[in-house]
Amino acid sequence: MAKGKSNKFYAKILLETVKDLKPAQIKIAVKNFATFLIKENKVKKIDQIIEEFERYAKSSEGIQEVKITLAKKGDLKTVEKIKNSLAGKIEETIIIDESILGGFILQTDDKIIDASLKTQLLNLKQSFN
Amino acid sequence: MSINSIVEELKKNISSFEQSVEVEEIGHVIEVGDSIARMSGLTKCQANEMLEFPGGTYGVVLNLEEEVVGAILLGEYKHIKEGDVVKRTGRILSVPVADNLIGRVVNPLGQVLDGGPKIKTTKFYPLERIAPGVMTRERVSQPVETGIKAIDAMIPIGRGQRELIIGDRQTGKTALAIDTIINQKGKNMICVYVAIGQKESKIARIVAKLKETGAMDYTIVVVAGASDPASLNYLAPYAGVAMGEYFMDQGKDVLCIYDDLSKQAWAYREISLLLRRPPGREAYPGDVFYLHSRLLERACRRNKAHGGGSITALPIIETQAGDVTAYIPTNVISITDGQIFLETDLFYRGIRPALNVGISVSRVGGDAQIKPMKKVAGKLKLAMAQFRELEAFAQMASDLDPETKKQIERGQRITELLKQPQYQPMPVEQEVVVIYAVNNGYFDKFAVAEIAAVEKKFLSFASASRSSLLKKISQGEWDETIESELKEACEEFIKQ
Repeated sequence: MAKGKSNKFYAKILLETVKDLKPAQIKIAVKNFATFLIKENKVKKIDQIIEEFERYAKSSEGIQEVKITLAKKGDLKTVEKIKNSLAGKIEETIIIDESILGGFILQTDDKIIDASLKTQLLNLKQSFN
Repeated sequence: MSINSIVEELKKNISSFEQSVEVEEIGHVIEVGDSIARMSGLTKCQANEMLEFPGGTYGVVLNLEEEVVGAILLGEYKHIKEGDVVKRTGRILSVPVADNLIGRVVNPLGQVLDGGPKIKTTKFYPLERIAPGVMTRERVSQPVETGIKAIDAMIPIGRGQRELIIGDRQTGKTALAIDTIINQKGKNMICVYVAIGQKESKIARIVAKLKETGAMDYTIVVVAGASDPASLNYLAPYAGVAMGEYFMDQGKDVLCIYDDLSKQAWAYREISLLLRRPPGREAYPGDVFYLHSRLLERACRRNKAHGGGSITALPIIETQAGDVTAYIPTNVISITDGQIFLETDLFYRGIRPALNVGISVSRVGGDAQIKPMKKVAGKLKLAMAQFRELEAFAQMASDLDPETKKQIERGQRITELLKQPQYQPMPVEQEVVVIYAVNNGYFDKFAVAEIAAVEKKFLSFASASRSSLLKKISQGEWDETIESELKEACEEFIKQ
């Protein structure tokens, strides 16, 4: 467990530096950033930092990444309905998990909306106890 | 019930079930290990909130940092991996409380360990609670009788007091605490014994002994064993006092024993270092004083207007090689209302309980003593103080003047009388009469080695022929007639 700043921190730095630059300048900035990472001993974490950067860049442009879990494939109607009810631009990943039985689970960065049949049944079971 | 009514009932149940979709706030595990976890997300998470990890493991938030949340894990964590989803529960860490906790062995989360049925209750008390304030308190005025002659006479403890038991390993600290619990039978006291970081075999022995003596009828045992994670060891005393507060809120008197707080401080140090809080003296974190002060401050005697009831705390601290100037011992000494020092030297000299009466004190308990005990104890303390000064001369007994010699001999007999075997607490009236007898020189004519036997004979004589007198003393009555009756009894016994 190395003490240090989180990946998010580096992603933020990168975004802040390249924000208002011209393409030619960006090239230099990215190069500088790479040297900075080497200095900070963070090269191993580059994949996570890139991931974090993508997410951060998208959210700063108002694009929200969401994961939608469905029980069956091809339930496009539900997906469309969910997307319509959410504000802003949405970039969705669809996961198929039969064990949820029905309904959907919507997961954003720090929230879960669990409207799956499985959870409903579990809650019902618990209310009997 | 007919089939129809069952169906109706089921329908009713199902229709009353509200279908609701909950929005849950989550985070992701960044790293996990050594029974702590660090997470991202969990935006609105509170300090001390419980978190739900996959597999039903719970955690408690201790650190809220800019980017990450640090939590201790309460239980198995081997299955948790990076990226796992962690859910907020919105609940502050709390324990279930109920009257049927009494007689049970539970862990700091209120889960039963004795194989009996689960504790069923809807009431939960938070582990961390602000101690009762000034306006709700009252001075300590009723005694906690430990059943140990030396303590009840010279270092009296009152209900609502905090008295530290301190000493090296193997000096009888736990024995003292257990004797006190055993002696609370029929005294309207609920006992909470919190075992922190102890061997399970020792805990099993203690529970068996408490059962054997019938003390489990009014005792709760909270166990965080040596094999439990540091997080449980750290939380155990707070869980114990929370259970105690439930009974205090009913106006009852509670005795909480924390055995021992040095192990709790070690557990807290471990957690703090793993959470990367800066280490201070002896590598303890900066708030280690607050760790114990906020716990012990919850011991109190509440006044009638606020429901009455009390919590008496008997924290135990283990010293290393008699060093009471180490960090944790000095902290706890300064927090408590007095301390009972147990010493290895005395223990091996056969003086058990190995109490050092010279440096043991009770700062508030004197007001709580019953009148007869107060009367006889004053003289005892004086005789012991004189004896301590002269003890060094005891070797050259032949060259001493008769007055000094008499004081030494009296002191030796008192020391002998104050010895007491384990698990044999003594009722207060018996303590009073034997101390009265030795104070007034009635035991002087017996040899020092005979004192224990003489004491036994005297007690059986007194309870056979003077039972009404003993009863009066136990009710706290004391006047000239009682004293003269007692004197007469002593004289009659000597003649036999």
